[in-house]
Amino acid sequence: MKKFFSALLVLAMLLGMTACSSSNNKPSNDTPSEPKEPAQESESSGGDAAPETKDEHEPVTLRVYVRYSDDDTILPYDYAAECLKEAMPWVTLDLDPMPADDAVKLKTYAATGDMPDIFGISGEDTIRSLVDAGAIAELTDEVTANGFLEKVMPAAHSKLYFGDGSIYTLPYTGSEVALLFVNKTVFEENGVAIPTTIQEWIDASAALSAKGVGVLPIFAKEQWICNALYDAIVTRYIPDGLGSLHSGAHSIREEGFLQAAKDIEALAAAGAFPAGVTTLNYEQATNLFYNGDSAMFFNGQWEIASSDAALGDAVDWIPIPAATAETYETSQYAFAGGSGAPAGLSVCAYSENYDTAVEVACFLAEKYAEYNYTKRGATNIAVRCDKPMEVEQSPMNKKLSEYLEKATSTTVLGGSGSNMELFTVLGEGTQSLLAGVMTAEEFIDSIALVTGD
Amino acid sequence: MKPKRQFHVGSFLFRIVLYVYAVISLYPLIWMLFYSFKDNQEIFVTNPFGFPTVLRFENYAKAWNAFNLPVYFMNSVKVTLTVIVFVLIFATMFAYATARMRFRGQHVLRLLTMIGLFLPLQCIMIPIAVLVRDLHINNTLWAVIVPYTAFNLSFAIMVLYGYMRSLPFELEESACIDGASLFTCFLRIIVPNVKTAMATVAIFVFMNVWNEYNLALILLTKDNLKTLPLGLLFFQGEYTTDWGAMGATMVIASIPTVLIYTLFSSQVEKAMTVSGAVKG
Amino acid sequence: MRKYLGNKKMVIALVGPAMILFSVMVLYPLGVLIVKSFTQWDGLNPSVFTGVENYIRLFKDPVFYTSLRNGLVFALIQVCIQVPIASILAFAVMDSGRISKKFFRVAYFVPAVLSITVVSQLWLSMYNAEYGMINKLFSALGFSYQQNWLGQGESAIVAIALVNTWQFTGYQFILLLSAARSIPDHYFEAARLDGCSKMKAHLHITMPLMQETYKYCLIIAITGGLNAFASMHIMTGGGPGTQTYTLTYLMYRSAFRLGNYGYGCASAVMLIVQCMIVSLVINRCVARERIVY
Repeated sequence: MKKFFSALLVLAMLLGMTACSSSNNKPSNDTPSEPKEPAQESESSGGDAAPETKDEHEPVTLRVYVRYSDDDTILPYDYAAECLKEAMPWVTLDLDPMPADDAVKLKTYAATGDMPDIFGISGEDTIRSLVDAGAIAELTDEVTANGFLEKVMPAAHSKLYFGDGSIYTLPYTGSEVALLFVNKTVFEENGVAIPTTIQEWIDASAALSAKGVGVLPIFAKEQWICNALYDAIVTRYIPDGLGSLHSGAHSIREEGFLQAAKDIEALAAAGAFPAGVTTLNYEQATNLFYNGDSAMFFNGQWEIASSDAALGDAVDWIPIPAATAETYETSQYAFAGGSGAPAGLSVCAYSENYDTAVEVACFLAEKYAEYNYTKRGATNIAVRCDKPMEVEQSPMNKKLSEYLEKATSTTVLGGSGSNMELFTVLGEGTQSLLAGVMTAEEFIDSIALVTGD
Repeated sequence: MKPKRQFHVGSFLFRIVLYVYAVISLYPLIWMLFYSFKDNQEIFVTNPFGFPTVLRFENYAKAWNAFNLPVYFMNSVKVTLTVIVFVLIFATMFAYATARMRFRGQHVLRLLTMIGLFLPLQCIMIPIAVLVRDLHINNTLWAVIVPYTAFNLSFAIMVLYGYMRSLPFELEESACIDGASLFTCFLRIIVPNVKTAMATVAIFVFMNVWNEYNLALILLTKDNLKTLPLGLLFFQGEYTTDWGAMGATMVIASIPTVLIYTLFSSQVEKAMTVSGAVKG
Repeated sequence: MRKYLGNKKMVIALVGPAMILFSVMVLYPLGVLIVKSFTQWDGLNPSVFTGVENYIRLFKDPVFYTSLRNGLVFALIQVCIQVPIASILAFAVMDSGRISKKFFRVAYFVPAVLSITVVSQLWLSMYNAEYGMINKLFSALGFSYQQNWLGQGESAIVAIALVNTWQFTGYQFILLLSAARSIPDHYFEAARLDGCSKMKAHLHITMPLMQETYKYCLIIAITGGLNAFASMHIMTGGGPGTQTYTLTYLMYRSAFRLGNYGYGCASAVMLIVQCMIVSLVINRCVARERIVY
C-alpha cells in the first residue's frame, strides 16, 4: 500500500511539474494589459478587398469566440474561414466555441481582461455591461468607412444600432419571424379543418387530441419558445407584441395580454400540448412533428428547411389564427418576430490586432450571411448578398416572402429585446401557463410585479 | 472465523433485494453504452432504453474528430492526479493538527473549512477567475489545480478528522515517551493508521475533479489545456444537440473512472485486510 | 504531553499550507460574496452600495420561498433515504462473501461515478410522461395510474430529489463501508460470543462506533440537498415556471438571467447561512464525545 501511494505521489508530482513547466514556456504577456484605447484611425479598406502583396503582412492569429457547435453554426463559419484564407491569407482564426451559458464566460473574459478579439454577443444588458467595462469597441466610424454599413439590409438595422445610435454589433442573420406549421395530411385524415381563428384552433386541438392525435409538440423546456408562442397570440390583440411592455407603450394590465394568456390556458386544457411538455427538448419535439404524428409545430422561420426535408408537400405554414373571423384578413400580415435587438459579432476594444479584427469581423458577418443565402436559400440575411442562390427556394419560403412584403407589423420575438428580468419572468410565466400550473390571472399578476403595473 | 450459516427465508429474500439493487445500479452504465451508439431519434423517441438497432460507431468518430481527445485526456489525468496528491498531503496535515494536537481555536479553524462544502460555485466564479489571473497562473493547468485543491480540502479534512479522532491517544503518548518527534509520530504512526481514509478521500477527489465542468469551462480557455468534460461542449448547438456523440464522449470520460475505482478499491480492500490482521 | 501536543511551530507547519490555500481560494471569494450582497452589481463593473435592499427584496420574492421549500424537501428526502439505505448496503456488503462483496462494492458505487448528466438524462427518459419506463411499468402492472412526473411542481421536486438521492447513495455507502471496515475485529467477535444476531450487532456496536462517520454523512446529505443545482438544471431547467427552483438555482437566475449579481450574492449568503446552521447543529448533537476503540 505504501509503495502504491508513494508511486502515485511521485507520478503526480512529475505530471504536476510538466503541467507547470510546459505551460510556463508560453510568453508571459498573456496577463492582461491595460485596456488600450481603440485605435483612432483605422484603415479604410473594403470588407473583402484583396491584399496588394502578401509579404507586407505579419501573420496574425485572431481568437473568435462564437456559437460554433452544430451544423447550423459550424458550416457557415467554416465557409467564411475558407474564404478568409483566400482574401487574407496571413490571418489565422482560432475558433473558441461558446456554450449556452447566459454569457457567464464572456463576462468572465471581460472581468479578467482576457477578451477574445472577435466575439458573438446579444442582449442589451450584456452589451451595456461590456461597454461600461470598456471591453467592446464602438464600430460606428469603422463600418461607415469600410462600407460594411451600406451592405446591411434595412431589416437588420434593429440588430445593428444600440440605444443611442452607436454600433457595437455586426449582425449576420436577420430577425426571424415565428411561424405556425401545419401537417395538412394529419388534418385531412382526421377530418379537422385547419384553424383560422383562435377558437377554431382550440376546438381543433380538442378534436384531434380526442382522437389520440398529437396537436402541437412545442419544445417548452426552452422558455424562449414559450415566450414566442405567447407573443404570437398577443399580436392578435396588440400587434406590437411583448416588446411593447419593455418600451412602455402598453401595460400588462391591458385586456389583450390577459386574453392571450387565457387562450394558452384554453389550448392547454384542450390537450394541444403533449404531457410533460415542459421537459420536451427540441429533438423530441421535432421528432413528434417530423414523423407525421402531430398536426402542428411552432418555431422560427429557420424551421422551414428541415420541415420541408422531413415532410415535403404535407407541411405548410399558416398565419397565427386570428382573434375573430372578422379580423382574419387584417391580422394575417401582423407578424410575431421580424424585429431584432442589438446582436451579432463584436470586436474587443483592446485587441492587439484591432484593425485586422474589425476587418475580419465584417468579413465573417458578410460571409456568414452569404453562406446562408447561397447554400441554404435563407432570405432573412442581415448583409446583402450579390451572389445567386444555389438552392431552390421552398414553396414555404416563397409564400413567406410574399407575406412579408405586406407585413403590417413585426415584434421583437418573445420580448427578447427587453431587459433581462422581464424576459426571464415572462419565460417562467408562459412556461407555467403551458404546463397548466398557473392561471392567466396569476400570470398577469406575476408580470405586473416586474413592470410595476 | 465464519459464523454458522443458517438458512433463513428472510435473509434469502434480503440477498435477492441486494442483487436487484445492484442490477439497478449498474443499468445506467449499460444504458450509457447503448446511448452512445444511437442517434437522437432513437435516444428520445423510438428506443430510449433498449439495445441500439444499429451500432453507430460514427458517434465515436465524431467525438474523436471534434476535439483533440488525447490532449484533453492527458490534461484531465495531470490535473486529477496533482489535485489528489496535494489534497491528501494538506488535508492530512491539517486534520492531524486539529484532531490530535492542542491549540487555541482549533475547532473554529476546522469548522471554518467546512464552508467549502457548500459554498455555491456559480456566484464566486468571476472572483475566482480574477484571482487566478492575479496569481499569474491563468493559461496553465494550475488555473484549475489550485481552486480544485482548495475546494476539495473541506471534504477531505472532514473525513480524515473523523478517523483521526477515533485513534487512541496512547499512540502519541508512547511516541513521546520513546522520544520520537511529533512529526515522526505523525508520519510513522498516524498516517499509516488512516490510509484507508486517505484512499477513500482519493477516490472521492478523483471523481469530483475528473467530472468537473463549470470551473474548467471558465478557467481553461486554451485548447491545449482543456480537460475531458469540456469535450461535451462541441455537441451542444444553439438549437440542436448531438446527443449520440455526447454519449460517446461521456463513455470515453467515464470508463477510466469506473476502471480506476474497481482497481483501486480492491487495492484498498487488500490493504485493510492486512492492517486488520496485524491489529487483531 | 500537553507541551508535546501543543508545539506551536508544528501547528503552524501543519495547518499553514491548507489554511493559506483555503483562505485565498475559498474564504476570500466568500468575503467578496458577502460584501457584494449589499450592492447593486452586474458582475463586471464597479458595484453600488445599496445596504440591505437585496435582502428586503429577497424576503418579498415569492420565488425565494419556493426555493427554500424545495431545498428543504430535497434535503429531507436525501437524509431519510440515503443514510438508511447506505447503512443497510454497507453492513450487508461487510457480511457478504468474498466474490459478492467485490461485485456489490463496485455495483453500488457506479451511479455515483457516472457524471450527473448521464444519470439525469436516463431518468428524464424514465419519467417521460408519454413513453417513460415508469408509466409503462404502472400500466404493465395493471394500474391505470399515469403521472406527469416532471410536469407539476410538487411531484417534480420529489422526482428529481429521488434521482439525486439514488445516484449519491453510493457515496454514503463507500464512506460507511470503509468506516465500518476499520473497526477492529475483536468487537464483532465479542458480540458473536454473546450470541448477538448480525443485525443487532450492527445496531449496537457498529453504528455507535461510526458516529463520526454518520456525522459527516448527515452533513453531506443535507447540505448537498440544500445546494442541489445540476439535476434540475438538466432535468427541468427549474420549470415548470419556477416550481423546481432551489436557492442555488435562484442565485444562478439572479446573477446570470436577471444580470443582478448583488441579488444573486444575497441568495447565496442565505444558502450559506442555512447550511452553516445545519452543520453546526449536527456537530453539536451527534458524536460529542471522542470515541476510542
